[in-house]
Amino acid sequence: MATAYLVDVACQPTTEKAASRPALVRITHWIFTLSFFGLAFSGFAIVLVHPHFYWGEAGNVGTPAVFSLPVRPPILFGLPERSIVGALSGRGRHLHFQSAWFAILSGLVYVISGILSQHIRNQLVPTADQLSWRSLRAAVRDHQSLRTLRAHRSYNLLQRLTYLFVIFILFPLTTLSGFAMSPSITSVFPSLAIAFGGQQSARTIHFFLSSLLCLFLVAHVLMICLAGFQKRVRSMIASKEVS
Amino acid sequence: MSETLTRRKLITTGLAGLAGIAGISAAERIANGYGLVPPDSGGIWGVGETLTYAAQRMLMSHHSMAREFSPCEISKSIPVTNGAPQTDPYQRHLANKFRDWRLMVDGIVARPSSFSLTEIQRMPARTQITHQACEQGWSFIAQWSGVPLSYVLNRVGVSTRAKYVVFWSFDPRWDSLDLTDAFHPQTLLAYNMNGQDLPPDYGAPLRVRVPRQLGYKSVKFLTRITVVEDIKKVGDGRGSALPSHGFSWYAGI
Repeated sequence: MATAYLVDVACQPTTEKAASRPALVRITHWIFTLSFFGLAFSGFAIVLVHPHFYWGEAGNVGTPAVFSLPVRPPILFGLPERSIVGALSGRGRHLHFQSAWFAILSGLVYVISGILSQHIRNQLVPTADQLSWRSLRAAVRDHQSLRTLRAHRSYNLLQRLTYLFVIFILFPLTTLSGFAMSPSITSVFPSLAIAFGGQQSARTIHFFLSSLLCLFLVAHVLMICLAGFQKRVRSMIASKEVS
Repeated sequence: MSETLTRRKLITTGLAGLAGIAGISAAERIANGYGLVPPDSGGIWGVGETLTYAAQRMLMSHHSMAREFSPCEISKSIPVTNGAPQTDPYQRHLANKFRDWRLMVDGIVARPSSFSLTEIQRMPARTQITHQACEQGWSFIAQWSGVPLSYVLNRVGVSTRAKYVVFWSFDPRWDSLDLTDAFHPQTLLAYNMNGQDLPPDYGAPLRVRVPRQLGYKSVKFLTRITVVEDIKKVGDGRGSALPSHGFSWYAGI
């Protein structure tokens, strides 16, 4: 049931009458998807160079780490260390920031257009009758059976809350913790670094928040597979629901 | 869906695309005019690099100060990535305690000059305790003393045409800063670290300190500073030796 709770977030209207998604939602979804893969891949490459995490303002090999990941940079064809580091963290940062720009811009377009077109209010904000313990219990119960879940025309309470949490809390916090690592941005907004407990704490928090986003992605994709991968993906590409 | 609608859609999409391309090239020309395009803007990563650099230069204060810390926050351990050069010229100067070493300052300046370490140490000094993050992810806090780069630049008289300040080192590494960072009050030519003469591994006799960028922009073992208008004519034209290793010229991130 615990997995069902997390997993069922990708279910969505499956009946033919269900409203089709606005084009902007579909376009931003796929730009965001590509950017997210870029961010996750490059984030991992950057971490490979120094897989130790600290708490506070500063941290390095001479100070105690909170934890370390059991990974090490790949040794490729006897390349000198600087080339490997340059390829992982230098190029990694290129990909990370370029992806971050596309993710943030497409995310902003999604949120602003979603608010203006009422998409977010209609599809994601829980309806009045969903906000009850009875409805919550029903949603949890539904998640135990795929068939009842598929029969629903719109997102249930758990799905709506999860999407809202990811869009309005998890992703902004991940972005802000990234900003809190930047020496130039924190010179303008010092409170950002202080709020996260220091530059190294921000790095550690950024790692955990990104991991949560990856976990959400896994659950999201798993749910799509359970709900019928082809059909769900097609409905995110085409303007009309395909049955 | 009728055929006409499809055609109309096609035409609008095409026009929107063309407008987009025209918009981007116009934006690029404007950005270039205002110095918002970094020297390493070529290639597939140029989009992200230019967006980051231009956004920070446009939206953020040019005078914002990096955070400064208290003496009790100074890190006990300070790792080094590239230590003192093992080359003959450097080792000779080191053995001689840099008594014959001079910092050349040239390029498009009114009075090209060279300064000995003692002369630099007699210039008005600034001491600051700042955080430095290595691009790899680790960091440390240290106290630095030195002369603000702006003081040296004003003393030699920088031309109004100047756009970049290039740093040369005993290392093969070289790098450059735009005038915003070069004239920033916290950008130092540092000769003292944590109250002691700068140790060889940390950049003796003199190093740059740019607290608003990642550590690799703070060039060590300085030999010469050149003020230029066109950075494309320096080295491989990407503003630093590091872009060829995969690192960004602008490291304010």
